[in-house]
Amino acid sequence: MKLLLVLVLSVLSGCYALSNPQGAAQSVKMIDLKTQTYKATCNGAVEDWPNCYDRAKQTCPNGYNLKERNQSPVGGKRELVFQCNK
Amino acid sequence: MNKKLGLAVAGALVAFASTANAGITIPAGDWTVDIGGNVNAYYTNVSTDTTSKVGVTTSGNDTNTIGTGLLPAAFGIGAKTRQNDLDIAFQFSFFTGTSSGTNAGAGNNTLNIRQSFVSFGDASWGTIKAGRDLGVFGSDAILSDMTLLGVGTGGAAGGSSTLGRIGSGYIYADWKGQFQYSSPNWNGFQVTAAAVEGFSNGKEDLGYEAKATYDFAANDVTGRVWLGGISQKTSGLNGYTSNGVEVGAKAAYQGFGLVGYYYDGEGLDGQNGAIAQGIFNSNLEKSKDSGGYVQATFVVPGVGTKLGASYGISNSKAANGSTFDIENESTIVGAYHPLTKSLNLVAEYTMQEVKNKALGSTKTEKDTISLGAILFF
Repeated sequence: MKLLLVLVLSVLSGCYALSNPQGAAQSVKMIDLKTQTYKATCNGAVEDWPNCYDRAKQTCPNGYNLKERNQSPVGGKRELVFQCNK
Repeated sequence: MNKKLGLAVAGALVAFASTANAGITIPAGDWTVDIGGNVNAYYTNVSTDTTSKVGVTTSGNDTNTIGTGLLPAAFGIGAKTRQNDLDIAFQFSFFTGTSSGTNAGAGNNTLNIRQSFVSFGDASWGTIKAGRDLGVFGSDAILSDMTLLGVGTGGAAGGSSTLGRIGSGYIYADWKGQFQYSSPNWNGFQVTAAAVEGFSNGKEDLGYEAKATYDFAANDVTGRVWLGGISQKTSGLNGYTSNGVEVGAKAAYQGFGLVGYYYDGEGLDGQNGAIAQGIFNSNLEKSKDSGGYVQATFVVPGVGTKLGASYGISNSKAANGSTFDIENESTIVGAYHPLTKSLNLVAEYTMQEVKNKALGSTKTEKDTISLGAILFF
């Protein structure tokens, strides 16, 4: 149990020292200007689908229409393709 | 000529660079080529205690290894286009380990091409997939497991994959040759069904898998619920049919995430088999199998680190009720830190206990510490 405590504290202090949340945020990319279609990614061990949905909400103040939800286990890849409401 | 070539190269580089943040996507004529994958490596320390049926506990030597976690390193390449009102695509993915693979000199790691499929369809009527890909039954369980990009249980030497929560919370979805149909997405609801190659069943019959999923994203709560099933007939003198059902749910709210999963059936597990825990139908009998897991995660504000804890169990009892009665449970805590948007650092601690109650309660306990990094692209 002591080992676990030491491990957790070490990890947390290390993570704090290495923290750079702004630089770690993943992207939203416009893939069609005419139809206002975007692709949000939320890959990896830390991010998950809620991050993709949050990005869709932030990108489209008037709401959005979900076009595709792609997930691949090859690298923890998650992609949300959405179209902003006008 | 050189100027034209230079402009073409510059154009290609601009196109490449403009999309590199969301993976590596390359326009190629009518096709869009997508390159993705991961490289991961973990240091893993495993200490093992074995208790005999008369209660004598023996501690084994610790093992210390370096290699991949649950997900092997992978390089995937696929492409998609639209022809004659059909979306068509293909995918190849090459998986390998990040160790010698043999724990001996002149090692020889292996290459496993887990994905090789074609798909075609349209948003109006759905998608058909033909080829090798992740199975349907158990797929959401493993894709929701926080240890998928970590280590979990089974941190042994030599292979290109640990086991995560496979066999200690769910049955491995595995990578199967299949013909799969996915319906259109109706406001978050979708149905997927597949005829798959039979596993350990004498090849006389195919297997059948299906699931229904519902995704929701409303009022800051997002998540998925799913219900699935599997059936496969095994031929032979003592033939039987494997059947299983699963139900799961995951939800997230402002950095908190919860997952709950349960499965039940017969002839599903491999706790008493020669391959590994949780490998479908590798007990080679109609064992009575059930299990599930719960998982909670939280992203620390400001720091960005995701902390998680999970508990899972798989039970597998012989068809005759006496040969074996195995209970495989584990508790896992983990920290997953985004060093950059493509690079995560991972630390996990796993406590696993495997009991065979049919043999006077023999017990094996394994404590696993793992530290490593995973880069995804």
